[in-house]
Amino acid sequence: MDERSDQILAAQSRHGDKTAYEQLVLRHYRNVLGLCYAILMNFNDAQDVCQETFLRGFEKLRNLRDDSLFANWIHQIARHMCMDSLRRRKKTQRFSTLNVHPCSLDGDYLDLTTAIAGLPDDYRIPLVMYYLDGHDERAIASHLGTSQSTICRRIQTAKQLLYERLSEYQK
Amino acid sequence: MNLNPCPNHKADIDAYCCGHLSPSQAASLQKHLSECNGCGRYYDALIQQDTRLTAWANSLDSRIQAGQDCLLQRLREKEVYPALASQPWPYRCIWQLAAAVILITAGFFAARLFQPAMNQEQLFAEWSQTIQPQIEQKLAAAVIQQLRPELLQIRNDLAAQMTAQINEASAQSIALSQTMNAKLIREFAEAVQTVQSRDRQVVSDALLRLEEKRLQDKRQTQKAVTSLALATGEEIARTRRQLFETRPVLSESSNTNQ
Repeated sequence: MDERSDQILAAQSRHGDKTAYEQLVLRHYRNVLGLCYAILMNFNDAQDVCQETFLRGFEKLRNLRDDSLFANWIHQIARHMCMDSLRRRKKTQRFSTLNVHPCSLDGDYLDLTTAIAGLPDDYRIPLVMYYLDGHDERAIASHLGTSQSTICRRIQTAKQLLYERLSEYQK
Repeated sequence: MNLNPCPNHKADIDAYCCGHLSPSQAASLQKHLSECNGCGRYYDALIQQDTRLTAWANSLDSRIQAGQDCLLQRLREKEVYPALASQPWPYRCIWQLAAAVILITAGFFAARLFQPAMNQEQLFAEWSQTIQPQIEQKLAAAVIQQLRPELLQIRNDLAAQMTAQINEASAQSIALSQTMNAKLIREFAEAVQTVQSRDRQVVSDALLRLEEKRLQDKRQTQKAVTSLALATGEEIARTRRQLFETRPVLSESSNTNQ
């Protein structure tokens, strides 16, 4: 992994260094994907939105005023794009005859993803980000604007809720 | 199935699962977990879900990697260079601006090249009749319009300057008059004092003279009274003597009359 800071990589990316931006992608892709997946609860949609987020970020780097805040900035873009995607999904569902569950494409873990989708936002988002981004509580706390201990507590509470709901499904 | 850990141990178990407890705290909690059924079941459930969620996340790893590679590929193929995109507006539109300038310049010269030729005198006569008055009128209006604020400014400045000068002169004259008044009052007071002292002297002299006159009169009066008293006494004595001397004569005459 490149040891240059986000600030340096963002500044180099702004001047056309694509390899620097690739490093930023490698560093933040999973975290942003976790956020997108937690909001959209559909892996394919989350991948699409995540990729579009990074491409848009590359185009709009000139709007980034403080390079050290690249991670928060790219998460903000991802959040907005997820909201747009949700709005589009609602519009298309209104005219669609098929009622497809957002988690229905996620295969073997259908029960688990359905249970995760039913969690409140405060528990679902840190939980998904935690497991998709290699258990980096500090980064999640920074992106969600809260403390590390709060993130830990919410993740454990989310796991408790999942256990209870999955037990109900099995009955 | 609901999990019911001890309320005072739930936070510790959460922190333990996140690896936030110190070794001593972890040992203490492990002991409690082995003893408390509710907390033990809660911890087991968390571990079970952790295993399940980790497996779920691992199952997505290949798709995440594929998506990441796809993004990197799309990024490499992207033709928009951020350095160019990050330039401010005039530089981004440099070609459009250059084309616009060339078109405008070409249009200007073409218009000059193809405009109909006119007689110079006719043009001047037409200009002096129609355009010149309008230009003069507009120029005058523009000059007035432009100069009005400056004139107003100058007038205000002059008024302010005059007011300041008048105020200063007034203050000086007031100060001077106050000095003069004070001097006059002082002189007047001195004159009054002089006159008063002189009058007082005159009055005291007059009183002194009056007193002397009174004493003199008193002495004269006493002398006169004394002399009058003496004279009166002498007259009375003489009259008494004459009366004694004349009494026999009177008694004889009365007897004669009877």
